[in-house]
Amino acid sequence: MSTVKVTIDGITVEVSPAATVLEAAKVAGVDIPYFCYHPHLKPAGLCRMCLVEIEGMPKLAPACVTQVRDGMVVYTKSDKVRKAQEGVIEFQLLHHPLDCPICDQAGECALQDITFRYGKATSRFIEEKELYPTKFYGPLIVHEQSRCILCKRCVRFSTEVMGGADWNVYWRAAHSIIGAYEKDVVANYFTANLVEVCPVGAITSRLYRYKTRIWKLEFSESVCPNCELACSVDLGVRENRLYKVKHNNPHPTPWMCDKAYFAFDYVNHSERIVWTLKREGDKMVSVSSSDAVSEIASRLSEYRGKIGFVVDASVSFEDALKVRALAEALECRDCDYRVYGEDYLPLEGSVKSLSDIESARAVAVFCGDVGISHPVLALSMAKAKMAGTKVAVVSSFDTYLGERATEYIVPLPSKEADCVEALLDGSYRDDLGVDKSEFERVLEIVKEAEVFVVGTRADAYLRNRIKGFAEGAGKKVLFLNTGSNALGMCRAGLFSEGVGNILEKVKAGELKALFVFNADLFNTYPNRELVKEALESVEFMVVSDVFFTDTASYADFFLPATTFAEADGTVFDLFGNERKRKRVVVPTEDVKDISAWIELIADAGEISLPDVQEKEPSVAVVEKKAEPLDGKGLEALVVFPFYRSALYSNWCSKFSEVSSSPVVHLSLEDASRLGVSKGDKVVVESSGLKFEFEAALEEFLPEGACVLEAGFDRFPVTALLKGSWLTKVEIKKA
Amino acid sequence: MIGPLIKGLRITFGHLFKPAITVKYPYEKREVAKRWRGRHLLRVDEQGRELCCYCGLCEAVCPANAIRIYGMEDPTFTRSDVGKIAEIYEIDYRRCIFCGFCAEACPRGAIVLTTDYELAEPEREKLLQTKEVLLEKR
Repeated sequence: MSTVKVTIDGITVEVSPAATVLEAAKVAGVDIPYFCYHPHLKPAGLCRMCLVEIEGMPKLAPACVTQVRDGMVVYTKSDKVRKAQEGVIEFQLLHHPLDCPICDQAGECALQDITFRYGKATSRFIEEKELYPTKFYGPLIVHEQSRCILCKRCVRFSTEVMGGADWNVYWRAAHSIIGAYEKDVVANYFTANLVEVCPVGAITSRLYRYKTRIWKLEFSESVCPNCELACSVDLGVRENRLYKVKHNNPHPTPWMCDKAYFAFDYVNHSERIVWTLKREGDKMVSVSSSDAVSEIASRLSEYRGKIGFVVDASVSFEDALKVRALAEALECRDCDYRVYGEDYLPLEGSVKSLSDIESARAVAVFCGDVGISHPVLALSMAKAKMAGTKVAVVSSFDTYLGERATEYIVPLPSKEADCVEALLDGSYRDDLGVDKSEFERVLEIVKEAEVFVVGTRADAYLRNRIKGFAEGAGKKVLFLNTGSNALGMCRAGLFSEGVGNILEKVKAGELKALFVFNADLFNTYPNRELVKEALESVEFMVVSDVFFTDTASYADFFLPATTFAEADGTVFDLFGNERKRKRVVVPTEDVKDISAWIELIADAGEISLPDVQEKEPSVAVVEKKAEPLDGKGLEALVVFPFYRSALYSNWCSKFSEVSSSPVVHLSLEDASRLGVSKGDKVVVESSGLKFEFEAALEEFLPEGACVLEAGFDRFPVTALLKGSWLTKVEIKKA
Repeated sequence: MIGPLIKGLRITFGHLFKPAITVKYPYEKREVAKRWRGRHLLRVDEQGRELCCYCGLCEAVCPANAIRIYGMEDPTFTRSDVGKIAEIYEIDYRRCIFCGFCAEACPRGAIVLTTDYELAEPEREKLLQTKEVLLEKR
């Protein structure tokens, strides 16, 4: 029997026999109130709000955990049920402080709504309420135990979806409290979901705390700009300022990461440059945008054919097309989006949705920190692992998925690609420096794997190699790229031979002028010296950005740019789907998107912009790079930590607070050799440069490797690098 | 014929010797009812802390859309006993209709309407009452 018939309040519906009464009621359109039920978490039957009367059952049954039977007759509005509902509400409110005027949840609070609809107007409870102090779990969330109704949604999210047990219920019965065990800071990449699942105001965001009321915000659907997954978000705007970002619908998953939820306040930042600037001597002075545009346009003909264009991969597809149109009109070929110095272009993978990964028997993840680059993807893999999918991770540094995977091998950063190749070859080699039995176990999962996920650290050679192997073995592949719209950039044809090549050409004098859009090369390109030399030798440079970055300080003209919330645009997600960004905030007059600036410049210079078509990336056969790392000391991989990897994280108040100082991750062996313990200050030295880091000990790091954190304001770690994110450094205790 | 004239003049002259009912307004003021709905006042408690915790109800109930509030945290509890205060509290007297719904909606009795009815200002902009003006001065 494929379906069963259930009658709820006189409405008969056919549902799957696995459905619960609550799900059947949703199908029937009957409203049953609930707190603890969540469509994407396992049912718990904790709050008793969904009690219903079922014919043939002597007592009321909780609808969220009662499975349907054929011919079941359910009443949800009988007197017995009404009385039970009133009672449940009265109990839920016994210790509730009723501080709705202060609470940030008011207006979207399930307890408020349900009390209003199903509860009694008065309480018989006259005794003193039990109140708990407010607890701040770091800069992101605040927990008010007094408001908690112990529905355990947050706990279930942590254990069922995220796969950690530190957020849990402590003590028992009436004394139960929710919290993080022996932890003062909760910032685990997915903290946002704790706030989002909480039906009451027990867990609230510190970013939004007390700023405005939810009913004053106007929400519109848009897309998160921080990674290629392009999650649907609702942007809450009041008086032209962005106050809240909420998850909108289950695309691509019902969950969101902290980058979407907490890293958008740069949009309203007071340090934003909202007027056009022009260099006069050593100073930048404010000019009118029309003057700036005509001056730029008049100088362009001088540099025809000698202009480089560098665009960050987070800008929209339309903007990218416009940049290419300008480049073509000026006969320039040097335009590129790969500001992190990647040598690869997005390869089309065969994975078309996240369900391909979630339903796979086994998944292998190579070369990258998916938790940082594509957090929600890592979350769905961690969830799949708990549901039985085998997950193997081969990565020299992984902060989230590695410890949650079935098997995890951590090669030295320089051996990472070799290790993946050895796995594809199916043979162990001694020089890989990994344990043979571990390698064999991972190899088994790789053989069994239906999906390969290739992380952002894999280079072009390895990507082609994996693609070739997967096609031969009938496996699906998913290639991850840095930058939230890398696919759109590539489709717009905004690539040449890499940003490094453009910078080299500028340095050599082949290119005389440079346009930089939304990219802070000093922060992102892994060779600070080259960037500095190139920008010092360039004759004419125009920078369009949201903030006045280090790169902008070399500019002749600074054009204020829009953020993701201020311009309409299309982006392409990881799977090639078109996603729409929406303009929800109207910026001031001078702030324009890239398309608008380019059109103005073209008009002023009487340049006719050609209609550019999408360009197919040329799949070049790439030779394996075999550059041995020279220098002494430890192999150092430079990464952007999660709370520095969002767009403009230096201007996101909460992100800056979570990750306030750069950390060097050391292996336990190296740490004990150096006599360093957690939190000590260490000096990292390479080619005459010295940086002071705070030390952190990492269990999953091989001896001889360390990881340095980049992305901090006024902390130019990229100076240690020479074109790749891997280098060698010497570490001393400070 | 002369009768009505005398009658009329008697009323006129009669009033000449009665006390005047005109109030010499700027120098003299009429007493108004206790429940008069005049200028708003944001109240403070005995320790001088603001009672308004920005629940937003006055703003939501205001039929003329005259109230605009933004909140902020008061982590030290010096300005509020609940740690939340209004950062901006504006009542636009160009729009306010003095219905008193705001005072009725307020769960903490933070906003009240006083008997002060002298609301005229020389400039329109000054009719935008900010928090500094509305807050009860002690």
